[in-house]
Amino acid sequence: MNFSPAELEAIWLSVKVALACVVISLPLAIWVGYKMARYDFKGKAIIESIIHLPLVMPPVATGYLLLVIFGTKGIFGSWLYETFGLRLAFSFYAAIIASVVVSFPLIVRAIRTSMEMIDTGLEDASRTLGASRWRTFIKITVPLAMPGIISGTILAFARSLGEFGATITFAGNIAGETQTLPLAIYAKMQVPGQEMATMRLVVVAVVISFIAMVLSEWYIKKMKHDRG
Amino acid sequence: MTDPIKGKPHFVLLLIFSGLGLLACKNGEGTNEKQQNSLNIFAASSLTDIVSEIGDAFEKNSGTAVNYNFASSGTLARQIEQGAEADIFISANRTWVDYLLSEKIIEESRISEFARNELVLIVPQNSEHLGTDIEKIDISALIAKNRMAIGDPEHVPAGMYSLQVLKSLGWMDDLEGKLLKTKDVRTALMLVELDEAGIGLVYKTDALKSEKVRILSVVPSDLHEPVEYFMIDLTGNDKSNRFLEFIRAPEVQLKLKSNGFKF
Repeated sequence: MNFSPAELEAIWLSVKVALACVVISLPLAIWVGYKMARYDFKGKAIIESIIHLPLVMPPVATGYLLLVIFGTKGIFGSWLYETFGLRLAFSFYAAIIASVVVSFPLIVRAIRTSMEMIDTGLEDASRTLGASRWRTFIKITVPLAMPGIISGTILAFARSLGEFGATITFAGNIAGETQTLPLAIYAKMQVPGQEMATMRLVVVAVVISFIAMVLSEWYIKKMKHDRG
Repeated sequence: MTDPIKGKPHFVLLLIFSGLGLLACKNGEGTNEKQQNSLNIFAASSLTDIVSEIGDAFEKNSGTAVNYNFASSGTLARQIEQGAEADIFISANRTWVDYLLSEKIIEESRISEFARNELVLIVPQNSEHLGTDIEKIDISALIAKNRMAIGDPEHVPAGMYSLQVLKSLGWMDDLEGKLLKTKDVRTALMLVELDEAGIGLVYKTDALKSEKVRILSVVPSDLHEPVEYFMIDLTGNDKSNRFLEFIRAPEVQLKLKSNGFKF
């Protein structure tokens, strides 16, 4: 299959956005997941609901809300524009923000569940042996939560690659900047006579998704095997 | 652990038949029936308001329900080519009409002219740029902190006309990397309304509909091929004929004129 430069650009852009999404979401999700798993605090239920909203909302609605908040004439976006001349909407960064917002609940859930399943006795033992809270977190909690962290990461990566509604609404369909793979497929579909080009992109999407699933399954098997 | 559902075929069959039962439930009249008894109009997105108005008047007048599908003409042509059931198709340029002709989906005798339009350069209502003649515009200064929204030239007629204009004006080099290509002309309008794009190229009729944008310049019509809408009767049946007659009525033609369309 021969890909045109524009098609390769869309594929590469999708990968970049997905990687950026994971890199940004992961540290935040580990922290939030830990707090949710170990602590109770006022307003926890509300925060949980807000984090999980993008999971159940139609992605286009999520994108529209992002536009209302961060658009150049938006509640927060207008301040950003007036103060720093920063335009977030319809940019590469908007594509990343859209991906982060929709995949964040996925990582948080996976990590939180993993952490809830850890025997807290192990963490307590570590503390009584003199380890600091940070050392306990890094050496005991995080390694034990690894299955959740890894599967959450793969989920977020895959979700970002497939993200369409929020991206097209908040980031638009700008070739080279925000036209990720799903958007490129959608754009090509609109043009009569471009069926082959559309198919090529769809095949790439299927292949990438398939690889992600295979990796995920292989990893789960490995974890089960290692745990014995 | 053994499969808990194994050996319980009744359970599985019950699930399947419940699912099929739900599918068989009709939504009121059933969507296909509704489509067959009413007039289905596919029209370019720039015609969203005017065709809806005309369609509503037609509904009151004739009693036939009207369904609308507004999108870029290229998108609609593709949908029709793939079998979408439309009675009337109004395209914003000849390209997509010729496409359907070449695919043997329509005949020349079913094509008629609908209206004409003009292109304008627009800016957000509160923009610092004042109205001016297009030759006086310094594009490199104008585009410095902005982007220009146009329809995607690959399938949106407004985008195709826009590209012709930009090439005629010699602006393509300055606009390198600054064009926001949208899925239809109304989305280009929206980007300027939201000030995500500082400038846009849309139809005059679109600009007149929006209070959030201002016309910077009217585009001289010699910079692009004439903007002509073509109406195609896809089915040749009774309701289509009545609609075509209805459009020719003086009141409807007057309404088109008052919205900024030309003939």
